[in-house]
Amino acid sequence: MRTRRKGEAQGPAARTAADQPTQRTGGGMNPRRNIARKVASVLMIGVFAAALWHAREFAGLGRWFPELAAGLGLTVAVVHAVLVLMEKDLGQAAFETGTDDVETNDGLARLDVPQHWILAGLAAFPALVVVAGFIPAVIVWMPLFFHFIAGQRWWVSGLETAAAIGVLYLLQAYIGMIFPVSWFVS
Amino acid sequence: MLDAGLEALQILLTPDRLMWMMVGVLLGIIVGILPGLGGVTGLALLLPFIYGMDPYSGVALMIGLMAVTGTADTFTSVLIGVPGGGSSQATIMDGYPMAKQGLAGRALGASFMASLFGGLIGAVALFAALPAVRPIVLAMGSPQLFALTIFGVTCVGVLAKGNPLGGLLAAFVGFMLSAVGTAPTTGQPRYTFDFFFLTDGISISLLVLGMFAIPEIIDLARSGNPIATKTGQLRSGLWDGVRDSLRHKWIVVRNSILGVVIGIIPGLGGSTANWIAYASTVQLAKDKSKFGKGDVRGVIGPEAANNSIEGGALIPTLLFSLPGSGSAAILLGGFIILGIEPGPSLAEGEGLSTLLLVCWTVAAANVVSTALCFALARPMIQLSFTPGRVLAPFLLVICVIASYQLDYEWGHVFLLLVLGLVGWLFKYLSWPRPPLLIGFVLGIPAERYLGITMQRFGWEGLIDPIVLSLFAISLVSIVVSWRANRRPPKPQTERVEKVEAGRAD
Repeated sequence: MRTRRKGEAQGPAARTAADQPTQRTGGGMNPRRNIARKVASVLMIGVFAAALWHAREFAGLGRWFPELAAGLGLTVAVVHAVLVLMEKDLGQAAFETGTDDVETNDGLARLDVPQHWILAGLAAFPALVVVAGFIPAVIVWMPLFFHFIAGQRWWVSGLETAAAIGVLYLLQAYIGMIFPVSWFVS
Repeated sequence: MLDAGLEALQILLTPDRLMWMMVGVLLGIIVGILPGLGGVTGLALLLPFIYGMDPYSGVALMIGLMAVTGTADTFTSVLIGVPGGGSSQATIMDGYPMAKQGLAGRALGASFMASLFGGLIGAVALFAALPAVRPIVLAMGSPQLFALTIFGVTCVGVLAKGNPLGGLLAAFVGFMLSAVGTAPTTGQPRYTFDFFFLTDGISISLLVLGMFAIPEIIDLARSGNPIATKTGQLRSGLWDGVRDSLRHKWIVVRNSILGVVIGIIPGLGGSTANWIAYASTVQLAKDKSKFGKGDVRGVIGPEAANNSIEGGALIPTLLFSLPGSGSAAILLGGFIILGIEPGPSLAEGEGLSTLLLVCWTVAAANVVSTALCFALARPMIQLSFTPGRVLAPFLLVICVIASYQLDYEWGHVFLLLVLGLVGWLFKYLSWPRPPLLIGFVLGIPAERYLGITMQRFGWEGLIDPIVLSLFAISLVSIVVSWRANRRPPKPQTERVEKVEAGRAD
């Protein structure tokens, strides 16, 4: 993994264009997100249509709620998709900003890590849990993430992992928490 | 009554019972802070240990735990945007934006104070409701409960402020997700795709972790920045929050009463109270422009309601053996284990001491937990200043383990990841996520109560003064939301220009 300590060369070539997230540009200005919004709006019609189709299999009183919800949802999804495809401004809910509106200038991050490596690093944890079980996954994954992605020194990474393991031990010992073993074993 | 109250206070003020209450409070704070765990888990863990205990000590232990989870689960809701429990979901709407602005201390201070007042009002309501509550509970049949859930659904209009169509779409996605699992009326599995773990439906805590926590973890790791991008006032912040709660005392009182009323009605629960309290706080506010961006009133309202609901929920649980929530059902079991028979007999004779002990314990546990939460607040606030890439792995570990604890099923872990991707997509597309939760939370009771109404009364069941009044209130709520969405607030610059133009004239 190519990583760069803070303070080393950080020119425009430090990140690829795909990695470079947009800075705060305001809702709806990002063309990539607009395309994603159109695709997702159309897919949403498919989701509700499939749910409505599937609801026909249910019997009696168990059928009316899924049918009603899917039917009305389908209508709303169609109207929504038409407006999105026509590029009408639907406004932005006060509580939501697009995730690519998040400031990602690494102001306080110690390493300049490509975005896809970060996502891969996060995805590696559930994959490791499935393969090796929860506790081995924590022991292996946490120090690696802390060192290579969070930019912590090895000994700090080790201490942070030990702290996490300590808390997990207490939860297991005192409130009987059960941790998953490998999916292949279970 | 007064003598019985003093006698119950004396029972509580013995060292061993106070100690058991403190143990309950501490456990309640721990399970409240841990996302995915809550009062239900905490009480379930306690049950094996109360066999053979002195009944009063057992009551102090269980009520101590139950009364405080609603206070402690605010920590994660405010500091990391992950609801610590179902009853603090709406707190993230304004609490988390406040933490991002470096105002976590103020949000927590306001929340703890509102929770304290809410808890005390709940305890007083429990005490005062003894003679009056029976007609209220008996008046609420399935048609009335259905009408109440429909009123809750109208909150979507408030929560999707700015993008009503997107909010409606999200709410229908929530309705569809609530239909997953065994049908409440027929017992037939729906949308389970032959996965056994889906027969019980999707857990609300899993949905919240997936829709809110996972997208937040991804963004924290991507940005590398701490949650708080601005440095606020840590020391004075807590007291500013306390002052905010005192300044907005009517919001506290109104939402505490709302919480008690929703608590009295069996089957609605803390999530519903939390969202309805938030929506009503927004609807009744004159200046709505700051909600969702870090308005302290958006923290105070839901937090007052989610603590007072415990006092309200205890009324039908103890007096009519009607548990209003999962934790109340376990509490009922605990009382029976302790040899206390819940029911109308608790309101008279020797049972009255137990009931009044419960009132005192709810009040005392709220005071103690508020003091402890204030003490814990400053170290906890540091979480919001921890670099995102250090915090993200801890949060991911907690989310994975919390999802596994639901049923010890791998399916829940996989579902968490799927919901996390959906949540991230919603966030990426700027589709509002809270209405999805409202749809999910209210979809289940709406279907259940309408099903029962249809089976028992047919459509005539809906022609009832209480039902029609609730439908009328829902209609008013829709009109108010529609008008609010239709008339966006004028931009500040425009107002300034007008003022300046007026001065020039």
